[in-house]
Amino acid sequence: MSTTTAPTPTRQTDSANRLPTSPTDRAAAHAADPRSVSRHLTQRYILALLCTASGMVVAYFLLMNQLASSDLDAEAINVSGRQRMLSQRIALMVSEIDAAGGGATGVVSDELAENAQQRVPDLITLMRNSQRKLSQDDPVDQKLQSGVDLMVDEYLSTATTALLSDDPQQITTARQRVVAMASGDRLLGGLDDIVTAYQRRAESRQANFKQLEGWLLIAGICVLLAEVAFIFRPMVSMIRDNLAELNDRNAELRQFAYRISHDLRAPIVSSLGIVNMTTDAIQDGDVDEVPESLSHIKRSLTRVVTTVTDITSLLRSKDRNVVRDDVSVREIVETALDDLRATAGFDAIDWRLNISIDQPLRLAPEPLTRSVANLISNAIKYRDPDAESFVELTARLDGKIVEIDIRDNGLGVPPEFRDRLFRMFERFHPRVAEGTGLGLYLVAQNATMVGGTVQYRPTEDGSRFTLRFPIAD
Amino acid sequence: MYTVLLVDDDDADHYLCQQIFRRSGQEIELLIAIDGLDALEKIEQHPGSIDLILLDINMPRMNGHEFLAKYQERATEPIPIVAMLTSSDQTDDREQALRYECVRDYLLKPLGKGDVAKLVQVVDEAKGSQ
Repeated sequence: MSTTTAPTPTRQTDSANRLPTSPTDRAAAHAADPRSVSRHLTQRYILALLCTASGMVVAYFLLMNQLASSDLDAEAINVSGRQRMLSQRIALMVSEIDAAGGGATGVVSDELAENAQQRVPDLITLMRNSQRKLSQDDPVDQKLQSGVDLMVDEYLSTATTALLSDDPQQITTARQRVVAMASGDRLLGGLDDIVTAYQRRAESRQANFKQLEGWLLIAGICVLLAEVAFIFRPMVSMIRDNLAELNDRNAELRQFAYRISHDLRAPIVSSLGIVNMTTDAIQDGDVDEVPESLSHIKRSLTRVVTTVTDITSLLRSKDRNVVRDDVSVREIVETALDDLRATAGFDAIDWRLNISIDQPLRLAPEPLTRSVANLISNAIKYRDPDAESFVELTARLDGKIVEIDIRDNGLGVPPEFRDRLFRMFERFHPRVAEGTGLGLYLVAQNATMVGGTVQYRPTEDGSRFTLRFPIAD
Repeated sequence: MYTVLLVDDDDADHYLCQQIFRRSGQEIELLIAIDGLDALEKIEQHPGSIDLILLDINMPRMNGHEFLAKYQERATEPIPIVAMLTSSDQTDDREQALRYECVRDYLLKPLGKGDVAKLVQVVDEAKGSQ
């Protein structure tokens, strides 16, 4: 009697990533993954560097700009302060010259007056040029600057007259006027106002720069936080996921090697044991068991061959490119059935074929043939000996998909093992048939290889497997 | 007279064990289970009569380790178990199996005539300690 089970939720192998895959599959995946991971990491790393570098460049230019402004401000303050000092110096020297010329001997020496006479023109030139520079460069207050310019110009003209005029009366008047202008509030006040204005501008710019620095600091922290959130965290997460996946795959690879080693070694070890035992028996003259011993040895060695064949098939299916060809689904099914006709139990099954596809289709014939043959072979091996066995095979087109449905009333798969159905080396009916436990795994791999799926659904009286293979353009 | 439960999915091992026991001259009854699940059923079906379990590790449905975990939960009077390893490379399997108190020893396949005395000794020691 078949295992009767309530229908369970559909399991589908199109979530191929859930399936454990073989080492070759792993190798293929790793061959692609590291490049992809490396590309993603490099992109993110470059993005992070660009963000940081951009921030640094902006900060650099802002800083340079501020330093240049500070230099200009410092120079302007310095020059404007020097103008104030020059105005007083010129007046002082003019008064020294005046005092010496007036015969006030003892108060101002002739040497000092001569020195003043020589230096004042230079001072006048310096003050005039400086005033011009202040007016032209970046006047802090145009109106104030213009007013002071006029006063300075008048003051310097008067000082020039006081030095260079040929008219003694004009010289005396000019000298008195220079001293009066320099000591009066108008010129000095104007020059003071200019200095103060430049100082205020410098202070204002410094305050603005401090504020800007504060904003830059906040912006820098925001950029860093954004890099952490959108670049470094995903990078770390990606690396961690990849490491975890690598560890998983390594563990599966070890498990695969372990199982292969066991499945190849176990039958040989058993055979050796039987050989030893039989050798002893023959030496003791006990030859009755020899035929059975040989029979067991033969079956064990056949198991080795089957395991090697399945593993070779598995490895080849990974290494080989998928070849597509125009093929007849009916022929694929009929060929698989013909190949299995000699299998024990084949004739005990009522085969029901519903193939509604007659035209050749561009498919991957090898994976499809292997999968169909494997599922049919399972239906034969795991038929219910107590039931009137049937296998219903339906092939139909669903758009660009070929769907092959194989339903039987066989032993089914106990619910507790269904989540292991497509894994490697899993066997669920050890009493019924020996196998490598790779058959359904290979079916799933074949389907995945061509972008198809295989789906298992329990039925009330057996199993139902559905292959869905895409038709190539 | 000893009763040994062989838990192994390989027909050839069943046959080999049968013949080794037969030729050893010991009176040993052999029960066979094809995996851990089957072994649990056999133990329930033969309460108090099994003297030794010969346990393979790699089996379908329920392997040796899974069997030991289940068996440890259930057994009130644990039957001594000897684990069978396919090769000496199965260090992890051996260590994992020997963590269970009921696992008294392990042996490497194939079972030979020299192993029978060892198995009998395990059974006798287990009986002596009870």
